[in-house]
Amino acid sequence: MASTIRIRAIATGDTTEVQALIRHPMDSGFVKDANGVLIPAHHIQTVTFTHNDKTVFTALWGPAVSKDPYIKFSFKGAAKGDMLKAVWVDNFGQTDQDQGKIA
Amino acid sequence: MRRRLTLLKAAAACCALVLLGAAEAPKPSDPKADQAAFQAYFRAKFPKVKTEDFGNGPYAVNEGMRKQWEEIMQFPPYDFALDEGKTEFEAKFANGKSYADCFDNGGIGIRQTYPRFDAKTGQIVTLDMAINQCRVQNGEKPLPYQTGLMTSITAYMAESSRGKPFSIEIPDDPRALAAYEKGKEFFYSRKGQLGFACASCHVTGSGERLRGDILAPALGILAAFPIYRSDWGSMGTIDRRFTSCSAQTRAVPLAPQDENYRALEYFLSYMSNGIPITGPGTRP
Amino acid sequence: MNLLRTLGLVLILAALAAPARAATEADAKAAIDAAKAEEAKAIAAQAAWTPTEDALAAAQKALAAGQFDQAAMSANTALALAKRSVEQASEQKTLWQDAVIR
Repeated sequence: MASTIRIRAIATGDTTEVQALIRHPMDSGFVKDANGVLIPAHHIQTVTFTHNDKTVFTALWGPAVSKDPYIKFSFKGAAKGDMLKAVWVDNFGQTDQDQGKIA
Repeated sequence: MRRRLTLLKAAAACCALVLLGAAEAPKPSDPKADQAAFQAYFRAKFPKVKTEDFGNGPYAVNEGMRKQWEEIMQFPPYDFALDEGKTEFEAKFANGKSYADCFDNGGIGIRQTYPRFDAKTGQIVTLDMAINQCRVQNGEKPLPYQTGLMTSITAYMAESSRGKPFSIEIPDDPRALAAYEKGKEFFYSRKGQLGFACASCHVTGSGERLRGDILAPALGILAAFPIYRSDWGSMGTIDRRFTSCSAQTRAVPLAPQDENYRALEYFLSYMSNGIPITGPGTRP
Repeated sequence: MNLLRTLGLVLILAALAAPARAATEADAKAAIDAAKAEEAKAIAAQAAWTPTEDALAAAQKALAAGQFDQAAMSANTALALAKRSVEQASEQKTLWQDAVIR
């Protein structure tokens, strides 16, 4: 099955700019369906980006983040051709990961 | 005295006939003339907008919105739908055939020719309808319109036509002209408790604000479909937007792919001939 | 003097406008039927408005709860909205031409 994570990372000198799009329903737990029944909260709790086994970015999310979230951040110390790994874990214990090459 | 009365009566009768005549026979539309007037209106109203930009709706007419759009487009939210659409489009039906067998050029680079007039059935066929016709002809169940897999397939087909200008044909067939006329009437008729016509917002109000939104000009307005609309948090087709627009004017929406909606799509697409496809797209 | 006369007139009109008696179940049902019939015309003309449907639903709900006054009021609102929606559709049959870009 295709990964739920899309990564794009571009290095300019010492700084790498990372953008990622994650496919996830991010249900807040406050919304009701067409029959008036509460849709249970189902959202990502942590997103971690690592480079050479070192964590370069962590996000701690809750119900306020919308569906199919988009992240953008920068970090120093990586070079073109290096691999960047992303992992997310949600409140159901589900998880996914993906890797992207820094361009 | 009597002669004068008779003359007066005759004059009154003539006047009545002339007036009746004027009310009874509206001139039949000349689609080419309509299209020229339509495009001239929007080019005059938005002189800085280039032809290829009319398919970008509010982003063509508002600088602030354009900046936000350019940021979002670094990672298009419709990316997932495109992937799903490609997988579905390339998969085979149970009978061994595929979508490519139903369409010209295998379904690639043809989106800009829809909707089409089908001389056999006398109906306007949208791309969505054609996709379902293909499925049914090959023993598959038709897809629900407006959301889901239908939006992914149309996204994939639209992407293959990106940059190609709308080229809608109105053949010399009274049924096609009637459908065009029906779409034109729908576009300009006030509806719903709020009494808005499509034209109220997308002609008169184009470029202006409606609450927090900037209203897109009607020229090229369908070029970006199907769209990922942030308001929906998901993809939607042209007729998803038509039904939601109806509801927003407090009119009871018509059924998906209703004859009137298809006629409206036909009219709007023809008006936009020459505007390149910018779909799939993203909107607020 | 004028003020007293105006006040008097307003009071008389208000008294005339006030319902003579509370609506019965039959009244409420009749009002709902009238509204439904008009709405059917609007639906046939593909000109139905969403608030009409909402008012009709409110009328049905009030009827079911035995609130006949409320049911009749909602039904009358639905009837007025339905009538206006039918008029709008018929007016627009010719008026739409005025909006066409030429």
